[in-house]
Amino acid sequence: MWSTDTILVAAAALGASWLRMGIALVISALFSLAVGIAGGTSRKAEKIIVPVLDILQSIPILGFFPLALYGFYSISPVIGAEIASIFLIFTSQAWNMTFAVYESTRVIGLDLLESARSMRLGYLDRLRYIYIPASLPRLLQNLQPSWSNGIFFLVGSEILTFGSIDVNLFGLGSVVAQFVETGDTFGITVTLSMLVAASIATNFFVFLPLAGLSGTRRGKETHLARTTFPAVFERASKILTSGFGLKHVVRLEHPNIELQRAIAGITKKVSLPWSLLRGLIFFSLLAIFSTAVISRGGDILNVMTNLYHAFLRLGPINIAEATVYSLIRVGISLAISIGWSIPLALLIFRTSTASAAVTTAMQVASSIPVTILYPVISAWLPAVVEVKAILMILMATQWYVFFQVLGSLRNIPQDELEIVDIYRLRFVDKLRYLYFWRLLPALITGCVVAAGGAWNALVVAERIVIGNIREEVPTPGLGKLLSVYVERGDLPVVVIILLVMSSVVVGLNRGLWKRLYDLVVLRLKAEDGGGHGAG
Amino acid sequence: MAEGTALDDVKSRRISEAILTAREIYHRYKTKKGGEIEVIHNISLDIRYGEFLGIVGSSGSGKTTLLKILAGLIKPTSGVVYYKNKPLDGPTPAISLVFQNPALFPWLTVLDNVMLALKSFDRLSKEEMIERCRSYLDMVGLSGFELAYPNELSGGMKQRAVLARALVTNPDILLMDEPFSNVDPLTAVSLRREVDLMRLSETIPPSSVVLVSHNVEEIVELSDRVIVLTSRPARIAAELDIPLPRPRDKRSPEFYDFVDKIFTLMS
Ligand SMILES: Nc1ncnc2c1ncn2[C@@H]1O[C@H](COP(=O)(O)OP(=O)(O)O)[C@@H](O)[C@H]1O
Ligand SMILES: [Mg+2]
Repeated sequence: MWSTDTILVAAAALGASWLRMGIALVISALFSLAVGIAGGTSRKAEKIIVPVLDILQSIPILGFFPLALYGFYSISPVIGAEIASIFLIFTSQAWNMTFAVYESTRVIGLDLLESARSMRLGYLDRLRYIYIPASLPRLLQNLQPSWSNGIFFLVGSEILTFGSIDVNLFGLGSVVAQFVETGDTFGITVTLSMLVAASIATNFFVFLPLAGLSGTRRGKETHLARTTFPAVFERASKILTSGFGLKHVVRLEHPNIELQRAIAGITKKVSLPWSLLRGLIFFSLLAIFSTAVISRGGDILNVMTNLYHAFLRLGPINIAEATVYSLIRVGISLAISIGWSIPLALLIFRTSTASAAVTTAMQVASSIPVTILYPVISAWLPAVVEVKAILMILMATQWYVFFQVLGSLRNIPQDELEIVDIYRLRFVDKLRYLYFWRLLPALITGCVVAAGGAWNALVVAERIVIGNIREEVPTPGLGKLLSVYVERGDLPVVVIILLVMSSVVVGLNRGLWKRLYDLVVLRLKAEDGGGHGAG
Repeated sequence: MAEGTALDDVKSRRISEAILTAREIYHRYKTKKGGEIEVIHNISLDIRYGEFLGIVGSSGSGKTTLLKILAGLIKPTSGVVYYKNKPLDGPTPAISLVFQNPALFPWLTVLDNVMLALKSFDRLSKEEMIERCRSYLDMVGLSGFELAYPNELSGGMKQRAVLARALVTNPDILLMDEPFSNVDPLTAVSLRREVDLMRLSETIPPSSVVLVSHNVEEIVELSDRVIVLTSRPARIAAELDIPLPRPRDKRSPEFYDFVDKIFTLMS
C-alpha cells in the first residue's frame, strides 16, 4: 500500500545508516592518517604498528562484534549501542586505508625529507606539506573499497543479539527486516530502491570522482590539497555524461589488496612459524584480556580455566568438523569465482570499452549490500540453505577475483601481445604461453582477498539471522557455531571460536597463499628480478 | 655468353620487382584525451626482391608504426599493403618482425621462445620443430643455451635469440625495428657485422630485409637503398641508393658523404 509515512521512514533509515557509515569513514580516514603516517615515518612505530595491523586485518570482523558491543554497552547502555555500531563499521573500513597511508609515506623520497629538514619545517608543517599530500592519492582511492566493505557488515552492526543484550538500531537493516516481517511489499520496494539508488549515486558522485582526482600521474599529487568541491562535482558530471564513466573508469581496489601488498613486503622478513606464533600469542592475550574484562576482574587463573572449560564444552572434534566444512565452503566459492572470472576476463580484456563497461557494472553490483537485500531475495533463491550460503559468500567475494584477473590481463605489455599475434598463435597456445603466466600472480592475490572476505562472510552466510528470518546450514561450520554462541552470550566459547578462525586465516595466508605466490613469482622472476632481489 | 645474359636478366628483373608494396598509407592514433594524432601521412613504398632497405627517421616519427603496418600487425587508417601483389590482411609467416625491445617470454626457455614462431605450422612434427629451432639458434651463436631462460642471457644474446625466432619461419621478408639500439655499442658492432654477412649467404632466407633506425651510420653501413622520413607525421622526405662496396669502411670519405647527406635530408 502506498504511504508517505513509509517513504519517510525509509528515507530516514537510509539517512541514519549513511550517517553511521559516513562518521565511521571519517574516523577511519583520520585514524589511517595518524597511524599510517606514524608507521611510515618512524622506524620504532613501524615495528609495533605493522605486526598489529597484520593480525587485526586477518580477524573475522563480525566475530568481534559482540566483544566490542559488550565493551561499549557496559560503559553506557544509552549511547553505547550507537558507538559500538560505528566502531564496528570502522573496524571494517580502517585497515586498508591505514596500509595505504603507511605505504605512501614510507616511500617518500629522501631528498624531499632532507630538504624539509634543511628548511627546518616543524612536524605540523611536514604533515601539511609532505605527509598528507603524499598519502592523499591512495587514501582517496581506498575510500570506495572501504565503504563497500563497511556496507556488507552494516546490518550486522545495527542488529545484534549477545545473550541478554539486544541491539536493534534504527537503520536500513532493521527497517527492511520489519517490512519483511509485516509483509509490507511497498515498504520493501521503496527502501531497497532507495538503497540501490543511494549506493550508485554515492559511487558516482563521491567515490569515483574522488578516486579519479588522485590521478595516476605523480605530478598531480601535490595539487590535491587544493581540491575544491566544485571540482569534485564537475568531475562527477563529466563521468556521468560520458556514458556512465565508460571512458573514465578508475580502477578501484578491494581493501585487502592494499593489505596483502603491504604484508607481502613485511612478511618477507618474517618466517612462517614465527608469524603463526606471534598471531597465537596475540590472540591468546586478547582472549584472556577480553574474558577478564567481561568477567569483571577475577584472577587470571580463573579466566584460563574458563577458557579451557569452554574449549571442552565445544569439543575438539566439533571444532575440527566445523573448520573442515567451512574450509570446503570457502573452497567452493573460490572455485566458482575463478571459474567464471577467467573466461569472462579473457573474453573482454582486449576491448577497452567492454572492459570498462563490465568493470563499472561490477563495481556498482559489488557495492550493493547483499546482507540488506537478503530478506527479499531469499525467497527467489533456491530453497537449499547450503546453496544460499555459498551464494552469500560469492556475493561478498567473487568480484575481487575478477577485478584482479582482468587487471593483470589488461596490463600485459603490448609487445607480448604483438608477439603472439604475429606468430598467429591459436587461442589455446596464447593461453598456455602468455595469458596463463600473466594472470597467475593476480589470480593468487585475488584468491587471498576473496578467501579473506569469505571467512568474514561465513558468519553471516552459514547462519542468517535477520529479524524473524532465521536460516542455518544443516551441516557444521565455524560461522554457524560463532553465530549460535554469540546469540547465547557465551563469551568464553566465542573467544575460542575466534581463536580457531583467526588461526586458520593466518595459517592459510602464510602457509598456502604466500607460498604459492612466491613460487609463481620465482618462475616469473626474470623480469621483476631486480625488485625481488632488492626486497 | 648468351647464358650469362639470361641470368643477368633474371637477376635484374627480380631486383626491380617489388615483393612488398605499400600504397598511400595514412595512420592516426587516438589519444587518451579523445583527440587524434596523425603519425603517417601518405607513404607509398616498394620493397624489392633481395634488397636491404634502410628506413631512417628521428625518434617518435612513426617508424615503428610503419613497420608494424608492413608486418600486417596494425591495420592502417587508410591505404593498402600488398605482399606479392595480394593485399595483406594480417600477420603471415612470410614476413617476420624483430621488435625494438628484445621481447622474450621470461617463463619460457630460449628454445621454447623460438618454437613459438612455429606453433601455427601444422605440418611440422614436434621433433622437426625442435631440430629446426636448434639449427637457427646454432646459426646465431646460441648453441648450448637452448634450455637457458632469457634472464640468464646478456642483452646481445637476447637479441640473437630474437633474430633466431624471426628467421626460423623462413620468411621472405625480415623487418627489423632498431634491433641494435638496446644492446651495448660493442655488441651492436658485431651484431651488425653478422646481419651483413647473413645477407651474403645463399642458403639463409630472407630474400629482403628492412631495417628501421634513427641511427644514420648504421643505416648507411647496411642498406642498399635508404628511405628518409620526415618527423611526425612521417612522410617520405627522400630516397637514395648507396652503391658502396661491402663490407663498408665507416671511416672512408664516401661513407661520410652519405651520412652527411642523410643528416641534411632529415633536418
Ligand atoms: N598505440 C599508440 N597509441 C597512441 N599513440 C601512439 C601509439 N603508438 C605510438 N604512438 C605515438 O605515435 C608516434 C610515433 O610512434 P612510433 O611509431 O613508435 O615512432 P618511432 O618508432 O619512430 O619512435 C609517437 O608520438 C607515439 O607517441
Ligand atoms: Mg620505434
